[in-house]
Amino acid sequence: MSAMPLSGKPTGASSAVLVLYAAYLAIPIGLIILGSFGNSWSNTLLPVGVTDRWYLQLWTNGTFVKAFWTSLWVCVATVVAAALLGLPLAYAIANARSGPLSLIGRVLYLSPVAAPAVVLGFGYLLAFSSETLPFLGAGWLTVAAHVVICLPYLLQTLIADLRLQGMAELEQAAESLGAPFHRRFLDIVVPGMTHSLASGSILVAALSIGEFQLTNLIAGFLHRTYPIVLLQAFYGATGFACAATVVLLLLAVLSAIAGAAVGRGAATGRMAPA
Amino acid sequence: MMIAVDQVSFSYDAGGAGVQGVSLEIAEGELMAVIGPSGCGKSTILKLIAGFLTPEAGAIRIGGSDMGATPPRLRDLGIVFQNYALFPHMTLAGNVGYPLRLRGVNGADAAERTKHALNMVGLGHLADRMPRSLSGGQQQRVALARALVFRPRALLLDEPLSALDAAMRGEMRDEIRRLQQMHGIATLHITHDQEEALSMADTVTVMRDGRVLQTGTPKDIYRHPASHAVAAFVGQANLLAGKALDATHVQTALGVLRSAPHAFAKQASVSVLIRPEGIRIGNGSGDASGIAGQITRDRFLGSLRRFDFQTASGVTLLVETDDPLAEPRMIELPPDAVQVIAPDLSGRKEGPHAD
Repeated sequence: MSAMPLSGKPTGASSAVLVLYAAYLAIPIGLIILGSFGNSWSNTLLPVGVTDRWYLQLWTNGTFVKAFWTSLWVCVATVVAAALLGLPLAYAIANARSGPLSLIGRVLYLSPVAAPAVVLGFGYLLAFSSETLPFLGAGWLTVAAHVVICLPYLLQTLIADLRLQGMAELEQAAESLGAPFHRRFLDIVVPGMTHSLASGSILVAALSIGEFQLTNLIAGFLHRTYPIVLLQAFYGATGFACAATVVLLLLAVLSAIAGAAVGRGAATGRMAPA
Repeated sequence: MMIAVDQVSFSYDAGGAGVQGVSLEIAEGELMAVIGPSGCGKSTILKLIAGFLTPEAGAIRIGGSDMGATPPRLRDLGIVFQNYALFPHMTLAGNVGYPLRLRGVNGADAAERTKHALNMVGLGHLADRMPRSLSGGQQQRVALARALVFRPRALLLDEPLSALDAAMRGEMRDEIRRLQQMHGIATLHITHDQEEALSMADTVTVMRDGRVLQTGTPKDIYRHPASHAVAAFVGQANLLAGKALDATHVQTALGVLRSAPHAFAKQASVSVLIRPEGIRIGNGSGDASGIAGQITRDRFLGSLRRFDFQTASGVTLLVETDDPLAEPRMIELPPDAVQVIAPDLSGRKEGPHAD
């Protein structure tokens, strides 16, 4: 077995693993991008010919354009709702030393693993298709479902940052200086959480844009998001399916880059030499 | 009294170190250091006075007013935290000016007072810098300026020097004392560093297991510790178990020693304290008890030597001398250096030279 030397310089074996894993990730993405510009692609290793017609078809396809905008507004609404809920919730959980709030916090942490999206989707189907609660297919329900899926990830980011910054002691300091609760929250907690709220929100955006399992079960015909209609593209021309996938990929990559930039800014800001 | 803690008790739900029946009094302009080993309850006392914890019994008065239902923000206390707790998103001026903003002091007055407070700690030229760009010592100065700028009734220091290196600690001790005396403010200084407490404080309180063991001037605490536990914690000490024979003699593992006069009854179990600097190199002239033995470990400490001296009876004594060359076979214990104090009833063994 090869070991990583103390200097941090990777050995030959670990470099090879790294390169193979990068190739494993990059090759399918590369093929999709290649396919989106290929004129035809059937029974060959690579597509034949070059064209931009798949992107033009996508641009003029009303179903895809509508789904694109639906995904965007669902994403923005999810980010806003998650941020509004997440910050006070994270604050409450981080300050709860024991008791029910602490338990709720742990359940929220575990919920993405304990309750997969498809399970939540069936729950929504049962709860919101009844005559009492006939909301299945409503846009706001999709947003609410995305918030449930994404909130734990935002909470994890925020709570970790609250603890990393020693916010409890900063608040005690502010309190000893004369700050009532609302001043401590607005003057100390909120400004101190700007970076983690931004990076957590971008994570929420990336998750919301790509969410399929739960949305597929609860979104009605009027509010189908981009990943839902993307599934239909796979039954048509390969080039069209590839182009449609590239658009989704582009959105996800932009979110990841923005998230990484904000995260790095936060880390650089905090770790500057004293 | 500016700060009065009267028979205060508190225990943590999780079973951490609380305090039982603690009483302290700090006068205006006085600096009291509270020292003790980890878990002795000294930080709990600070949190109780600050209002971050609520006593289960007893009362806390600040400026004569009972603080029972007063939240921390209305207690008017300047607190310096162990890790400074500077607000990372505010400049130094923003940090120092924050308590003034909270009190509705704005504009030129606030700017002037902020500038004055930063100048007072020698950081006026860095007012627009962010805390993260400062050294630990500079951050500590900002924390002090912020704690004093709103003219609080008292100052609470929670191990403020523990995160600094040794050289900076010495400098900051003097700085804190200078500012405290300049403001004439009642100050509670929590520390685990006995040297820091002895060198800075007007009064020292020693705590253990949530109780006050002794309160007194630094010299009193060092020279006349009330018990084995205080003697063991404050300064270097040789502590031996013994039995009082009469008002000036005590039986120990070293034999019968002449001691400083004491009031313990005949045959009472006692502890015998011998400070290393009180032991002389010599053959036991006059009233001093002579002890034979040899050096088993020698430490060079610059201006003095501290060595372990193993006696013929197997007891190891810590001895200090300024003679760099002495290789004694005999030491002597003058009666004044042999103090008879209350024994340790906890059953614990304190320090390497307890017997």
